[in-house]
Amino acid sequence: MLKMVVRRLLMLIPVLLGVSIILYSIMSLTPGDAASLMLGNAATPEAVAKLRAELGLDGGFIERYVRWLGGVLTGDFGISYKTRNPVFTEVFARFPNTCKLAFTAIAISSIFGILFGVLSAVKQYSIADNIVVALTLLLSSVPDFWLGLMLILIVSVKYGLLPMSGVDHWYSFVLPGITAAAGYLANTIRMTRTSMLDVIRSDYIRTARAKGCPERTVVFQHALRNALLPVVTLIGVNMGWQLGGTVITEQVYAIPGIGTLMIQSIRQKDTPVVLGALVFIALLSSLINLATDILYAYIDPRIKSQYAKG
Amino acid sequence: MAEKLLEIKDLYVQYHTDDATVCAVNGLDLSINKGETLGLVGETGAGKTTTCLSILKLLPDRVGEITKGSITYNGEDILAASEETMRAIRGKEISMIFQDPMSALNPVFTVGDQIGEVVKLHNPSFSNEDVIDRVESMFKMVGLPPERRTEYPHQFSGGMKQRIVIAMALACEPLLLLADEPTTALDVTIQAQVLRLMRQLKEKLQTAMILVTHDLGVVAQTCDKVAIMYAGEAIETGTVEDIFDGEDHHPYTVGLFGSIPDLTVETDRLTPIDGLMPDPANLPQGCKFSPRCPHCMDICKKESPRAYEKDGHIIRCHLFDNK
Amino acid sequence: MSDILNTSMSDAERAARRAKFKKKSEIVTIWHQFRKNKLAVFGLIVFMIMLILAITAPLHISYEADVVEQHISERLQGPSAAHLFGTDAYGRDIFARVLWGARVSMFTGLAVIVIALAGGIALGATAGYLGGKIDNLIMRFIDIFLAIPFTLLAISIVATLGNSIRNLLLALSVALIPKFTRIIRSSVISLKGQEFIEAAKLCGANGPIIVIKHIIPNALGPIIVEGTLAVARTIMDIASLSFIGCGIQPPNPEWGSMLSDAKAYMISYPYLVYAPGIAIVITAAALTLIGDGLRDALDPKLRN
Repeated sequence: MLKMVVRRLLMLIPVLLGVSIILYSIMSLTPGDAASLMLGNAATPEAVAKLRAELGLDGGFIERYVRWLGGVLTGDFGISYKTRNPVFTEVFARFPNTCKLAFTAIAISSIFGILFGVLSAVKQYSIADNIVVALTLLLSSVPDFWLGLMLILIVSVKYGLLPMSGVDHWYSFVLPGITAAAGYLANTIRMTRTSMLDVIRSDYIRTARAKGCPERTVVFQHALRNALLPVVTLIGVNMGWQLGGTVITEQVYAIPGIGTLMIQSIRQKDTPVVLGALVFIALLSSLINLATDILYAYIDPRIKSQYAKG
Repeated sequence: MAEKLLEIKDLYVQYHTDDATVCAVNGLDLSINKGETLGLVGETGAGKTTTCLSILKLLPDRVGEITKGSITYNGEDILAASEETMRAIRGKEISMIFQDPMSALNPVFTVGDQIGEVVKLHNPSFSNEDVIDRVESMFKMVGLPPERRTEYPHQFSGGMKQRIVIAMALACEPLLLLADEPTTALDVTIQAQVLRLMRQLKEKLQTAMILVTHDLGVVAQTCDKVAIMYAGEAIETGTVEDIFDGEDHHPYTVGLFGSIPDLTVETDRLTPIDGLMPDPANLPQGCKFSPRCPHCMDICKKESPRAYEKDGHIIRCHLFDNK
Repeated sequence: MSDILNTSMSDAERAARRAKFKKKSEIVTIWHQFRKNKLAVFGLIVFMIMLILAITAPLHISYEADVVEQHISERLQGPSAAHLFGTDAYGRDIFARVLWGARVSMFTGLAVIVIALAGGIALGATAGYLGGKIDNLIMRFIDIFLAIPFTLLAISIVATLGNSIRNLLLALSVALIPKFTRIIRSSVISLKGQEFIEAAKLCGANGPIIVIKHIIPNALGPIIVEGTLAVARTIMDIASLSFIGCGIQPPNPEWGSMLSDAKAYMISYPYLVYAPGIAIVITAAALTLIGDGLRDALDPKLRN
């Protein structure tokens, strides 16, 4: 089992390397010279050259990339053009808010997703099922930022129940959480429902009934335990994507997270910060995907024994 | 003195789909005594599995419906029984094993837990040790090492899985075992092993068995009585001697026996029965075998034949009208 | 000897002709199956309506006068007979802008899908058909792109290259190609082993011809389903990107950027938020219904 974990970690390295190359290449396409941007039009060519050397911006592409990569591996993501602070500090400072938002969204989408998915599958063709299916369609057709705006209008403005921006209280994350969760709620419901419907038709469910198991046991122990396996994978994948997807929600609710930092830095042409944030998130989501795979191996006995042997 | 255990009278079962209504069982009469083995023979689609599922009321929820008839088990009216009563019967008084052992076991629970579940369900007073004891003794009974009860289904071969399924079905010593083609999905050599096991267990536990099969050889080896099903009816029933050695037979039975290739005779072609079983959504009028019957008479196309009995040997065919 | 060759050639020819005839009647069967699904048909009707409205918009709306030109004196008026959805902060008729926005969204969305499908088919078919090292290489590459969350990848491309429709198309296609590649590759792999491919090879057809003439037409099913669903998501993504300023720029009427403008005034003028959002929801929902309907119609398991 440990072998598998180590092997997967090792396989992750070339992927992350590739990600870093791609992101670095994209960012280096930014028109304009960073150093002269920082110093402004009045700067002398010597000052600009000096600053370029300082920032590690001279030399060919590969030279610059390797230098940057070396820095990243030691935790040095470079310096923000605007604030002159280390990029890592800037990004990491925003991390807790993004984390809280992503976590809330995943919790909402997973818990309700499984609940509604199971309900819909067990009571197929009933009114409850039809409502859930309609709800799922709507949730997957609503853009998250519009849902955010509408929630603000109805809940915050009209009824004053929850704040519409900022992160002052724990309940500041309720509306943003719901907003960010919408799309993932839809796909979790869908996956759970499909998986449950599939499993309920299996032979081993028929066996369980033939043994005299009460229907409750059949559904919640025999069926659910099997049906949730692919859902676990989906939730893991969702978590990874959620980290990248909070950008929009953060903008709507003015949450000071990595997403808003990125947008801000884009507008200010602060490339190191943008790059740092991107790499940080890509790294996190890859690790989360890996963790999901490992967790899956634990909960599915068929996979577990595959890896136990080596 | 033979004691009647299960009696099915005039059973009609239908499946309702979006496009059509399928008449799977059409006026079935069947009975089995304690300790007896009844072979239920027929082609695919004859209604054998449906019959077994109906006995346990395990037909698919909205789709399957028992429309007419009665099933009596040990004096109890099955069709009128509540779901609670049925749950007490399933696994304890009447057990069922299905055709495909590969998918019959839940992949995420250990085999010991799955057998243990049926034991605990019907013996709530048992302690955990009692349950494990019973599980282990069942393992020994079917010839598997008891230590393997902590393993998962995918770690066993097909034949072993079927043994586990049999162990699970017999764990609470049911009076009746419904075995739906239990060896069809297995290798011939494993088939022989499993059948031998089932015979031994049947003798040891005095379990009555309805053995569904399309293999007449298996019937000859294992069964006391035989019922031959066609298009949802039992067109011929009798003891194994009646069917294999008797003189009078339903034309379908004749066809079945005639289609078995004989190892001692050299022939160029096989002799199957002409035609196909009728579409259960669109059954013919009168005798359902009439389109394929070489002895078809006018009356066969109009009227469904009654059951003609002689010393317990029942044949549903107009040919025997005067006997 | 030549007799054998002749037979196998005509067998293959017959197989190919049968396949083509099968295709025609298959389309009819699929349509029949699709028609049975009332929701899918409803989605199709709604989408057709939106499409027609989008295409015919220039006939009764002038881009310059109605969509772009500012009439500050008429700003921020609620819905009325003159302005069905009201006017925005610059006095522009929201109804006209939403209608024109349909053109923008649908055409841009379609363009993205076409480009992404082209790329996905090229990469997926190559990887699937050739297998081995090339397959490995392509899939590693794809995996790397899939490791970057979609929205971020798109934003970073647009952010770096600058805001323009061309860059938006590029960004969204690049982010979408990996997904299509995966799907098409698995279709190709499963089709590769089938007999009619053997027949085509006996005909003397070589790699690219086999792929183009035989494999891709048969893989069209999943392609069309995924493509339709992807259009829905892309329209939503375009709106999202425009909302944060990385997409279609004002004064071009795009539903997302309209909502971005609305945000500043929405507390006092909530109606600004309704129309563009509802337009997005309707379009995306209709397309999703169509896509799901197509998927069910193409699923052999569900057919009788």
